[in-house]
Amino acid sequence: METNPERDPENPSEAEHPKIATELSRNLTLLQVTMMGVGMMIGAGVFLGVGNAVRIAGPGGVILTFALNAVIALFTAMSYAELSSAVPRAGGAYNFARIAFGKGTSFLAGWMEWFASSVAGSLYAVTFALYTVHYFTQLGIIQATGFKLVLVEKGVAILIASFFVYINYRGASETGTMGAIFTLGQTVTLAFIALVGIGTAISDPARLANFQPFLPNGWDKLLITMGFTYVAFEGFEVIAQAGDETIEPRRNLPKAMMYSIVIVMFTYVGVAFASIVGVKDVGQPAWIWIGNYGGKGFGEAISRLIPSYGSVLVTITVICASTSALNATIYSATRASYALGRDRMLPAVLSRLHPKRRTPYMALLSTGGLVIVVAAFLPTIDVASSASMMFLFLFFLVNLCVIRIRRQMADEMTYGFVMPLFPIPPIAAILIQAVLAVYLVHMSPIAWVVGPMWVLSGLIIYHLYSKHRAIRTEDEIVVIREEPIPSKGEYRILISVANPANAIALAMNCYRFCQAKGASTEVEVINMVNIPPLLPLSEASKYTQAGEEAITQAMLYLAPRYAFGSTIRYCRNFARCIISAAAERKADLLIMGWQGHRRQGFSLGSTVDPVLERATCNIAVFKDCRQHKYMNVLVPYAGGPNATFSLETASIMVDKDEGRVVVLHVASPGKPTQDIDAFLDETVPQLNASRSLFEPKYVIARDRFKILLEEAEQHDLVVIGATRDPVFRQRVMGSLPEELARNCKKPLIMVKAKHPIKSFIKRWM
Amino acid sequence: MNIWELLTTFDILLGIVLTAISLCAVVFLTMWSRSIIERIHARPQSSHREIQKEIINGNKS
Repeated sequence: METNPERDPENPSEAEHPKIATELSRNLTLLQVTMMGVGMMIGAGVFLGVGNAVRIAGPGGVILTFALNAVIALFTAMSYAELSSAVPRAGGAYNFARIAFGKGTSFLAGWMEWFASSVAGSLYAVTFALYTVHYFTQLGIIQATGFKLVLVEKGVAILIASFFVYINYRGASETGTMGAIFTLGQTVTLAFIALVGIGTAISDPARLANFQPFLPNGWDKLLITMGFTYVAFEGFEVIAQAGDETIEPRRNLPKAMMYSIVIVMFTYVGVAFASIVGVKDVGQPAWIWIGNYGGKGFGEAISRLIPSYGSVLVTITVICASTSALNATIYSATRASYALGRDRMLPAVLSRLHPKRRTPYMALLSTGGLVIVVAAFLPTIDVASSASMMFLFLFFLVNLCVIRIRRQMADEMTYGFVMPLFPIPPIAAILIQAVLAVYLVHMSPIAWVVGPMWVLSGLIIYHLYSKHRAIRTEDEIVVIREEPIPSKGEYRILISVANPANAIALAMNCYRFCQAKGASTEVEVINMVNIPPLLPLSEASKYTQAGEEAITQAMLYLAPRYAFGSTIRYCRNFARCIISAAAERKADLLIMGWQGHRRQGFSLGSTVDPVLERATCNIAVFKDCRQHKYMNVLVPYAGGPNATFSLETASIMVDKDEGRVVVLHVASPGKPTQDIDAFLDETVPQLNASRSLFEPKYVIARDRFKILLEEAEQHDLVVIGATRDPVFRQRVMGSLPEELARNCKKPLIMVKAKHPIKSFIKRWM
Repeated sequence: MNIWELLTTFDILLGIVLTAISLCAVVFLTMWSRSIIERIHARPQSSHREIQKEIINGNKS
């Protein structure tokens, strides 16, 4: 948790570059971003992957591998789509993690994104060089051998990487156009190969015998092939990076992610089918023949399918695929490092934009350097396996982010897309990707060495540099002033006060709870500063006066008798601030006031609704409770999980000498009634109150709401448990407690009891 | 051999069914997502709750 309200003064780097003066240029169309995604997916990996997958999983296994991977990838793509539609900014997973988990996790996400995309770029540059040089060697244009040949290949790899660094420097539009041209070329070629395969199978059905045995090595081998080909679906990452540069990003980014998965899935399944049926009369089963060629199996199979020009076609396609993938990965890695620089996680120089072209040229330069160094000097294939591993980590993290943001911050988001069937897709993706990551070890143990080393270096950089310099974002909770209670006593109450007017009433009611809970009770008051929009956080201290007065009022009332603490915080969303403080302070009870106003779209209010829904402690919301004595307290009872806490609250609020608590159950005609006496006999002994204080009352009526409202008018306080329905269901179906709270003219307390298991899950989610 | 002869073993049958289900699932989820996107963008600046409400109501009707 941050403790300093100032943004600028202690952040010299920001002072030097106070605000990014220009924005990235927004001119990428739906077609361009879709093609960038497709281009990144259909890299060289799939061509190498087909042969190897056939060897391990067999002829049917390779097709199943791509089909099943597409489903899993779509689940993660839906998470990316939902988050990108809500946060359409350069940075992708880095941005999502920043909002969901804070700056530490987000730095690691950005750091991994940068590395994974850069190394993938190196792999594509090297693949381009290998195929091009091999092709020219076959034509006799290049005659080098041995070490000279390696030097030529490295030189070509550096040249092509430099060329695409220049294309990216020219601007997003040029990058998108170039990517779209290459990707369209390769996709059309692959679709042609797939169609030839289908046509061949129709004209010569005997070739379908190549699919027997369908899965010669068993079903379990599917997991291995799915593990190492899954990264061939990673293109939605580059689409997420294009948030700042896409036209209508909230609509186009999610669409582009979905469309790219569909295009790629049919392409992969089609070419895998074509490669199987392409082989005939080779003296052994087709899958063994293709598998024996390993990474070259696809090319050899297509050469058999189209003998006259299949080899040339494959070479051209691989060259197109590796260049479009190289283009997309350089773009993606550049945006990842740009985002890190923009938020000062890495030096601000990375966020500099070219004044004319609006491209992050310094981030591009550093990314280009990384791509070239890895391509020229490191064993790219091994390092690329680590990149695959890191992409899996990233996807894992993004799926966690989508769940956490929906649970905790959905009110603050403006979504352009919400995934159907939530939370099944992200949970399924997390579980299946964990299995695939484990199986990836079988293919490349080195991935488990290089990957953690990169993460470790990121952790060191974060703790030495980024942690102290990162700019706070508007989504963060900032502690402006704080006087905490040092140790946790037996019972801790957190009171949320908005202004001096409600502070005394809440303190007075809190005092009753303190008396009931004993002398070791602690009270902490929280006030949220309301800073006008567009003002920087450094102005927050000018708006703390009302909060300080409110805290003083509460302190005068409570501090003489009980341990007292206070905190003033700023957050764009008050509810999140209160929920976070309650969890952080391990509060047993949260007390807050409600004025009775309601915003459209909410049951009780934009602050009270989320707090009741998500806070992990007992909650008591007070409406108009300003009296010193309550003689007649009404507790509507329906046997829910909040009944015991309602009764306890009523017993604390009522005058114990002369007052009474009426426990009312309104049953519909013909329906069984609750046994109030049994409930009271069981509960009252735990409450330190006399049984004679409570009176059961039964009413049978069709209109329960009308009876409750009439009964409420005859009492001077109503204590009612909050509904158990999710908020959106309340909005659709309606909810009796909230309806009563809105219409009741008498003082009212709405309570919600902590549910141990749900609270535990919420804390972690 | 023709396609009917191919469908004689359990592995092949199950494999074809799984492949078909996967392809259909991806297309169906994509079309569903697309309809959600269009519905959301029919109303500018919708909040999450409004979208949820609208999707639930839409599914009922």
